[in-house]
Formats: sequence, C-alpha cells, structure tokens
Amino acid sequence: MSTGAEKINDLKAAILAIEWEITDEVMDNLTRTIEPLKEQWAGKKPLLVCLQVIGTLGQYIKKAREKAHPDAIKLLPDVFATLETVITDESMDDGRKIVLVRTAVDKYNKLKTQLAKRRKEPGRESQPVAAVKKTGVEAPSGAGQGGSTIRDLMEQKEDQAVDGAFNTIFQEMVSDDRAPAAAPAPPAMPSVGGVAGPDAKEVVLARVDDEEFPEADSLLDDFFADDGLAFSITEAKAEKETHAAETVEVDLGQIEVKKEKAAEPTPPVERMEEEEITVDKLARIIQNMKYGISATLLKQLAEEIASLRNQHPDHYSVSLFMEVIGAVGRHLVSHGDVAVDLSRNMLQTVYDRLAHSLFTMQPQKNLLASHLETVHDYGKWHEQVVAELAERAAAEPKRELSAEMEETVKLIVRREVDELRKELLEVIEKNKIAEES
Amino acid sequence: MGFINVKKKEVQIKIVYYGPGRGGKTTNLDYINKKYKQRIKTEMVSIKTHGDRTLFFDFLPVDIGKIHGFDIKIQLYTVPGQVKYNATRKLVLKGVDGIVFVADLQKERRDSNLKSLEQMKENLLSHNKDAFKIPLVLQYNKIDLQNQGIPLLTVEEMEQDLNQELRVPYFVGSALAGDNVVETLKKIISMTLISFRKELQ
Repeated sequence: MSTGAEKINDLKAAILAIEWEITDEVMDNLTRTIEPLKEQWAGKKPLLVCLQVIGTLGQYIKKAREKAHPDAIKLLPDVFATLETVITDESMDDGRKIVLVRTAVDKYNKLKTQLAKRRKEPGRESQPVAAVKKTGVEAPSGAGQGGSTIRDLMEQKEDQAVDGAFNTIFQEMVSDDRAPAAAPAPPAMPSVGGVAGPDAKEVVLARVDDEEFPEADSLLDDFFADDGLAFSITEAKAEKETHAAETVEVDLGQIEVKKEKAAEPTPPVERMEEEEITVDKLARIIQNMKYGISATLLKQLAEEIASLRNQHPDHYSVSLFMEVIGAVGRHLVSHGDVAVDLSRNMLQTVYDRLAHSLFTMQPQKNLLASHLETVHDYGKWHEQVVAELAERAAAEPKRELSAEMEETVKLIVRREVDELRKELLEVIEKNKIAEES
Repeated sequence: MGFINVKKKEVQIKIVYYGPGRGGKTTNLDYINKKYKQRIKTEMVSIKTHGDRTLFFDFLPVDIGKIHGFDIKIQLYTVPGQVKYNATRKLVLKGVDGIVFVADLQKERRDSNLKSLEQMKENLLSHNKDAFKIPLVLQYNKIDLQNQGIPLLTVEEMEQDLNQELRVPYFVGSALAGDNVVETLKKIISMTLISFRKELQ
C-alpha cells in the first residue's frame, strides 16, 4: 500500500472537527472526504473496511446527535489512527495490517453489541437483529458476537456485500435511538466494588449544617496530612521495580483494571521518565499567555523549556513537543506582533497533546499519531507565519530619504571625511618629521 | 445515596466534582492523585479527547481509613464540562452523595458558572435530589490568575451569584497550585460523613 499520508489529511481534519461540534455540515464533510478515498483505494480491503467503519459511525453520530453513545465519538479517532498507521507504515506487512484493522473492527462490534443490549432493555423497541441475518454475512454460530460478523465481512469478495452489511448495522444502531425515550442504560461506571451487594444498605444523605463529626475530621486530618509525604521520585521508582504494574484500560465505556505481569527489574528509561515529568508550570505559562504576551512570560517559557529539556534530555515523547513549543516561543520573541493568536493556539494545542501523552494515553498506541498531528500542525503554522511576514514586508512602504534628510546625511558624511582627511594629513606630517629627524 | 455494608463493615460514598468547562475539576483530582499517590494506591481513570478535555468522566477511588471499625471508601468523579455532554453529566450524578461545584473566578466565565449551577440543580432533580439538601461545597477556582492582571470576580460577587440561596461552605482556591484543593475535599467528605453518623454508631 503506497498511498501517502498526505491524502488523508482532509479526513483527519473532518474527524477532529467532530470532537468539538456535531453539526450537519461537519458530518456531511466527513462523508464527502470518505467518498474519493473509497475510489482511490478500490480493492484495498483493510483500508476500505476502516473507511466503512468511519462512515457508518459518522452516519450514526449525525443521526443520533447528542444521544449518540459517547464511545462512538471516541471510536472515530481510534479507527482513523489505525487507518493512518496502516497507510503510513510501509515496513508493516499485510498480515499485521489486517490484524490492526480487525482490532479496530472488533471495537466497533463491541459498541454495536452494547447498543443492541440497550435496545433489548424493557421499554425499547424490539431489535432488528434478523435484519442483519438477511444480509447473509452474519457468522452462523456467532449471532450476538459482533467480532465474527466483521471478520466474515472482511473475507467477503463483493464490496457490495460489505456495503450492505454495514448499512444494515447502521440501521440497527440508529433504530436504537429512534426508540421511545426510555431511561438510558447507565454506562459501565468504574467501581471498586465490594460495598454494594446483598448485605449493603442504601443511606439517603441529607445536608446537616450544625453538627460536627470529630472522628471523621480526625480521620481526614490524618489521611490528608502533609507530613511524611515524600512524594519522591526515588520511592516511586523503587515501587515500580518491586510491585506488579497496574494499568487501567479504557475501552468502549467499560473500564477494567488489569493486573499485568510483574514489571521488569530495569524498566525502560522512557517509561520511568514519563511518570516523573511535571509540566504544571508550563501549563500555567501557556495559559497566562492567552491573556497577553509579555517579555516576562516569553522568558519564563524559554526557561521552563530549557529546564524540562535539561531534566529529561533523552525523553523521547517530550522532545518533539518541546521543540515545537520552543520554536513558537522564539517566533513570538522576535516577531511579537505576527500571527499572535495562531501562535497562542498552537502553544495550547501542543501543550494539550504533551499533557495528554504524559498522563492519559497509552503511549505505545497513540504517541506516534500525536507526534504526526503536531508535526502537521507545525507545518501549517509555519506556512502561515511565513506568509504573514511576507505580506507585512510587501505592505511596508519603501523608505526614501527626503531631500532635507539627504542633505543632512551628505553634510555628516562630508564632515566625517574632512575629519578623516585632517587626521590623515596629521599622520603624514608626523611621519615626515620623523623621517627628517 | 451512600452504601453501608454492615456485614463487611464498609461504607461507600460518591463525590462528584461539577462545574463549567475548563473550570478546573479534573485539575482538582489530578492534584489529589499526584499529592497522595502513595496513600491512594489506585489509579485515576480519565477518558479524554485529543484536546485533553474530559469526554466522559474522571474517576479516583480513595480509601481513607476506618471510623468505628467501618472502612470508608470514597469515590471521586468529575463530569465533562463541555455543554454538549449534559447527558453524561446527568449519568455521573446518579447516586451522588456529595458535590463540589468548581466555579471559575474569571469575569468572563460568570455566565458559564451560573448556567452550570442551574443545570446541576435540574440534573439533580431528575434523580430526585435537591441541591439545597445534598452535601455541597463551592470552590472559587483560579485565584492564581489575579497575579497576572486577569480580571477576576470578587468573592462577594461569587457569593452573590452562586451562594446567596444555597448558603453552603466555600473555598477560594487554585487547583493548579493546589491552594485549598485538599481543604475543599476534606470539607465535602466531612459533610457527607456527618450524614452517615447515625449509621456508623
């Protein structure tokens, strides 16, 4: 697959736009960007499947609007990230690409299953699962197991069959939201569990203004006391080395806390450093720049970037973000009145990605995508800045000296020349005298 | 409503941080999580968009210890602040025992504070809860911005806008710097536990 990443930039922009606003215009734009790609990638099944999923999710979100399952909105960029990886990673073999696409499609199927469950709840319309069977692509033994449906779809030879099946799935998803308003099923909230159960009793809590509970206050004072909070990096490292790592996997609204195998005795430098970096100060500086850019703030920005770089010289995931923030900061120092809003937004966007990569995302999956987006945004920012600088230079009137100024300059030059001549003559005179003596 | 399991001697309480978008709800939880990481011992769960906004909710479980032999388990949640996610806010409020309303001190955010508070009252009503009865603490956040010359509302104006009728405890703080973040949390837990007092004795 030699299709270049540049060809999906429009699609990426259309998907990012959905995160902020769901309007007909935004959703139609998504559909418009998909169509030419379908033609372009005819015969490339993994790419087409990704496009189908994106298109179907887009139609569902457009139809359901604010009632759309939050995971549908979350799944869109995930599927896009898969598509982007499949396109851009030329070293990846076809087998690996298919595995990646299948993983994305499995997520889609999980979402579909969740929506189907909601539909089956009392008060909702009867489910049109039979409609899926009519397409003839549902796995015979896998009804209700969404994953097999799409795997079968991928193996279908006729693209038409794929279209039909997805459309059916879409109808199924939308029909869920056409059902009469019933209490929505609460999404799986994370819970430490253990308290609610057959022995649990619910207590309706009411505000009590005039009472105190010294035991509770004492317990809170103890728990939240500052003393002994070394909060140290060394301890954190030691703990990482000796205890099993605990990761939180968030997938389609269902949150599982998984115990992984014990960490390796020497964890990679990357991982350790990512957990130690604090970018609060950087956040504050960038936030304050929104309200006005001053020399002090720019100095603080430069110092903070230098400090973070010194502290974490080899930090793979941070360095790119620092480079870009540094470049934008340097631009503001040298041209504080050119593309100011654009630059401020750029700083905030890059910071957001940095913080996101440090604290929330699973770096191995999403960091590359985040870096690529940053590089892409930096390119656009740079182009805009260069264009504005050129525009400004062109608009500036050519400076010509007035006749009076010109005369003044001539006088100054003449006086300087006269003085130089006088000095020169004095030197020559001195030399003559020296030679004669 | 809170849960008490007399057999297992456990109490579970749900606290929700509510407020307008970009107000500092997640930053409150981040601060608590980072500062007390070694005591909390569990992970904070966040579901965010690419722009680092809370898409669904943040969740941080904290076991603070025992009172009269009962393990006190606190579950801290935030709601997504963006206007379009009201359905999610409603869901997160289900079963809430105590609320921290994080308001933004910036003048330009005055309307957002008011709208968010009104919506919170409506959302609580949909769960048969009353903002005037549920344990509630207000936090007037971002006081650190006053040093940057950013126009802020005065505490009196915030009180006039948000707390004239509610008459609940409030804290002026900075979630980013950690000012009054812990105090706010301690207050809401304390208020909630007072409601449990009879059950625990």
